[in-house]
Amino acid sequence: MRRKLSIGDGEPILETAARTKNCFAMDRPTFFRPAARPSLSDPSVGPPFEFMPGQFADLRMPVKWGYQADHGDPEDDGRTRNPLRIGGGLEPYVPTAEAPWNESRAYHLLRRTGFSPTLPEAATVLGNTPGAAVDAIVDAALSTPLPSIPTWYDNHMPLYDAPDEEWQIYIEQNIGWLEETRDEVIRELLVWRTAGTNLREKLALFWHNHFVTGLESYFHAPWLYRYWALLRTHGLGDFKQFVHDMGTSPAMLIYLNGVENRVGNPNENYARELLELFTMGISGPGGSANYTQTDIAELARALTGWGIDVYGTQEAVLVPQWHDYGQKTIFGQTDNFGYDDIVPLLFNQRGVAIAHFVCRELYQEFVYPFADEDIVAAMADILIANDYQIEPVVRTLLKSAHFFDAATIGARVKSPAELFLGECRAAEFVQQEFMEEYLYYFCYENGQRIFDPPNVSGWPGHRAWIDTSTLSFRWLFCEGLLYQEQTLQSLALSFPQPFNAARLTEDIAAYLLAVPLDQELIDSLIEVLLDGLPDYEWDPLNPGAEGRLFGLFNQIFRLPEYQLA
Amino acid sequence: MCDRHVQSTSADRAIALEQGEAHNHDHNAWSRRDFLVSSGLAAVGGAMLVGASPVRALARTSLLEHLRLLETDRVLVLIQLGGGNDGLNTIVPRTNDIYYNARPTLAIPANQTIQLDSANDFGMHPAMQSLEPVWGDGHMAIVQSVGYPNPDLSHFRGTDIWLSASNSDEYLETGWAGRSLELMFPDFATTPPEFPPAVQVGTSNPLLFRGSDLGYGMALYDTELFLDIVEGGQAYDPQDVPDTPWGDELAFVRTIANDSFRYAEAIRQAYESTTNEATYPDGPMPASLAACARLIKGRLGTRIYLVAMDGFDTHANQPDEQAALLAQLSETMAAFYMDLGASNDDERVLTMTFSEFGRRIEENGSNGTDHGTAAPVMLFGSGVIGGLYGEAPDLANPDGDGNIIHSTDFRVAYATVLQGWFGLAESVTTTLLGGDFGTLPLVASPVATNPDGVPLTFGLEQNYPNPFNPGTQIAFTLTQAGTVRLQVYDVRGRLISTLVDGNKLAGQHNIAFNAGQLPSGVYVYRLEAPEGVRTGRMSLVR
Repeated sequence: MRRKLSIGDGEPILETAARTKNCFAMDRPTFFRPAARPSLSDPSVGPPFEFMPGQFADLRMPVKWGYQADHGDPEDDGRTRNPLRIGGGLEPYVPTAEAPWNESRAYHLLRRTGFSPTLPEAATVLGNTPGAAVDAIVDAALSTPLPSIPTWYDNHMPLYDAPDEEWQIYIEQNIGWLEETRDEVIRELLVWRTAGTNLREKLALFWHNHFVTGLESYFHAPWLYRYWALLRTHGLGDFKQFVHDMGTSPAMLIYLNGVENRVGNPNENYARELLELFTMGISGPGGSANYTQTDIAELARALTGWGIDVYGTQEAVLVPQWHDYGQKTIFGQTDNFGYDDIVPLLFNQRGVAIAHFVCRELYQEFVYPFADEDIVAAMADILIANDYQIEPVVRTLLKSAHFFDAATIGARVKSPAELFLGECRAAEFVQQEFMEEYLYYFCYENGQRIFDPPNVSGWPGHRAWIDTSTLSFRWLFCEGLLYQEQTLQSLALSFPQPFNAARLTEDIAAYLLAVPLDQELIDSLIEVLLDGLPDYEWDPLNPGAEGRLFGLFNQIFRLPEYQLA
Repeated sequence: MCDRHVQSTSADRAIALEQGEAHNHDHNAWSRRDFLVSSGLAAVGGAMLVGASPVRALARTSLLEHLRLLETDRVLVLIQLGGGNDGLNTIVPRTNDIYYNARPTLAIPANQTIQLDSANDFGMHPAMQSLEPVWGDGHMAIVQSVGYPNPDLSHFRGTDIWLSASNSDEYLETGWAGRSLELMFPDFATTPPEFPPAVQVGTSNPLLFRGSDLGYGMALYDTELFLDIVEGGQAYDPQDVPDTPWGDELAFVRTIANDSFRYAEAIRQAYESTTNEATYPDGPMPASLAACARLIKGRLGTRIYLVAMDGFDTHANQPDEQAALLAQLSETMAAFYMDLGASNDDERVLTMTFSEFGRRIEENGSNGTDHGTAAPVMLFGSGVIGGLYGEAPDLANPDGDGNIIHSTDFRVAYATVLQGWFGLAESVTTTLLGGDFGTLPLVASPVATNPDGVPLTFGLEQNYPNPFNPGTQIAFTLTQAGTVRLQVYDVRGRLISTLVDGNKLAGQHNIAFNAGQLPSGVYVYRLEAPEGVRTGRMSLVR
């Protein structure tokens, strides 16, 4: 059943999800291929971009993407929503008879810090105390070495007026580098068959949705790689440093027009999003506005002057003649602020607002989309007390009674990555050629275009992931992935009682679903596994068992419960 | 009448000695079925992406509705007698002493059976009396002693062998029907039809309708859910959730899920466009078949239905249980064909029963029979030539386990249906079934196939490319020369263009269509030919 996935050539075709079969004759180039580069002789096209004084490069070839999501506000569904009634606070969770340290909580920890757990991971976690289990996960995220830097890390694009042939070669090479990066990112997220390190990678994806950049605007793979490395490096690190470094990442400088922000001709784009989306938000915890338009304009002036050494280091460079050295008044403070002054200024003047803003996002990622403001405030205190180190906040939250409260378990809608990568892990898929590409494609088709969120505010996430279109796609892709799989029998044998159909079904359901099903539903699932067989005939070693396990897994994937983590 | 599922759980379904306690567990575990979509109503997605923007599955327009009614398609209904039906007590060898000696308590007295042949060597179980007129009308065929070499007595393997049409020692991951549907719906993956190619009710195993890459069946494990859906009900209850954040989110996903079943709308429309014109017995299987009758009469377009019926594993208390099951099966079949006949749909519906095995020649010590081998396959419909086929079970020469050695391979029945009923060529069925097992001349109105092996069947293909801008090709095949008309309509039924209006030869024709300045959208193309009317739809994406 497992077959090599083939990639066909790309006609613009009716993309039905049923094309799951051969990865849908996937139109490879749609991912990263840039639009045709306009001719230099075309007078209607503007000049090439000046990255450094006298250094021009071509940015007139945005990457084409196929999918434009148009979702309404899924939270505005007319239903009343229960307030989160969670007993615990940030004090450490201590197992009790009512809240035992069991599979359910171990799986919960692994789902929220990674993707679906594997059985060995769950066993490792359960073998620890909750606190030690959290420490192991966070420590692994901190200590696992980063993937090695690719050979093309410092490669540059051709001179803007290089011959078309040279550009063509570069474009093809760059697509290859982007694909390498894509595959590495997916692979690191999956952590095939090994345990414990994907919190760092999952946080990178989380921070990607915080410090949003879109590959569409900058295309150049070495800049994507630098950007993603920042997400990996600082995900649990010093948030101040994170903000500082992000602002001079070439990807960000291009995405939010930092490279066009010059003395006498400021561009406010980055300054605005730095305040609104990357640090403090429009209003602080008390509801008062955090900044004025004047603050943004003045901040933009302080941020002027950055170019990118396009034909050299590939890094940002401050170009003195582009920087505005005049006096600026930001948050009531006046000085000739430059880039390095900005981060201390923001954190000194709006530290509490920043801490609340960032901790609320972390809370939404790890706990529940509707934040408990008391917990957020307590997290913010920890962040401030630790001089904006992220790791102690995450560690405390993950160890907390609040995090392990039964009410939070299963109350988040899975992102496409959580769904599909989770399925790969949970069903122990065999790593195979093109698998990363498929998974990327599945996320892409379901609205999570990694490297290119829909806009600077990122994916709205949670309920916005699911509508009638995407839910059907989710079912189909989950089933399609299952068709690529042939090891459900060996997975079944890893459960404690694989020869007992009822027990096996219960264990698989508990393994795949966040919240226990009622007995009626379990009984139905047992019947699905047996499919009319008498249960004494159930034999996971029989070749026919694979199809019945397929039926069971697929049935569970179709349950609305499976969409939640 | 009673609900078979309830009966099958009752304690009086005692166990065969040889199986001991495990068997008892088994039967206790056969609880009532609940609320489960098996491999899902959404076998093919609730939406498709046309070009760059996601659109919801297109609602059927009145034009399409109208055009669809003109199409005729043959339907195969498979009835799975789960558990292993006792063939000897179904088609009784009423003059065979070995039978009566082997079954001192279970044998059906000869004078109670319903006469089948002029020699009166065979009779139907008396509980099947409602099939007597069907047999009399020549609308029922019985193929005796159907099985396969080296039979497997496990429910597990036996079922899979029957569903996949494999050899006894061969493990196939596709079903014979799925492989056939793959041929009938070659564009299923890229342009899925708006109806499910196959529907299965009452069984979760996706094997029968599994093709090499895809499942072709819409599987509804739960009969009640099936009925809920066709009657416009909800698959999942968004109200019945716990009052917790988890419950809130579950309600949200359930609401979306209820709206996501791709085929639900087509099914409801077909269902609501007709009524049942016969009275079916009570019970889940008759109710499922009654619903299937409405879908067939409502021209859903589905080619194969599989309805499963459980409880034939009669290790104990066989007389009452099997009689009740056979009575229900017979009454249901009689009602089904009366229902279909009211609208002349009986001519295009062929029904075939199968079971994973028959039962031991000798009765066991607990008023029942144990797992056996070959058994009769029954076919119904005005499209069959009624009568007895195959050889009578040779009770004098059983295999080493005291079981009947088959005389007709089960793949003969499949090949007969695929060739005679669906018109697939012999070379094709040989590939599908892994060999040439021959056929039986029991289909009254076989579809002609051409000698090259590729069936030349009248049909209109999906345009290519699709979506398109602005040009595309529309292909159709004629089995005979004649006057044809190919026209393009918009979705409101307005004629856009006449592409062909004149005589065409038999064979395949490719017609180009250029959309010119037409706006983006879905267009319908309609082929009228002496052989019938076909429609397709295509998407113009600017």
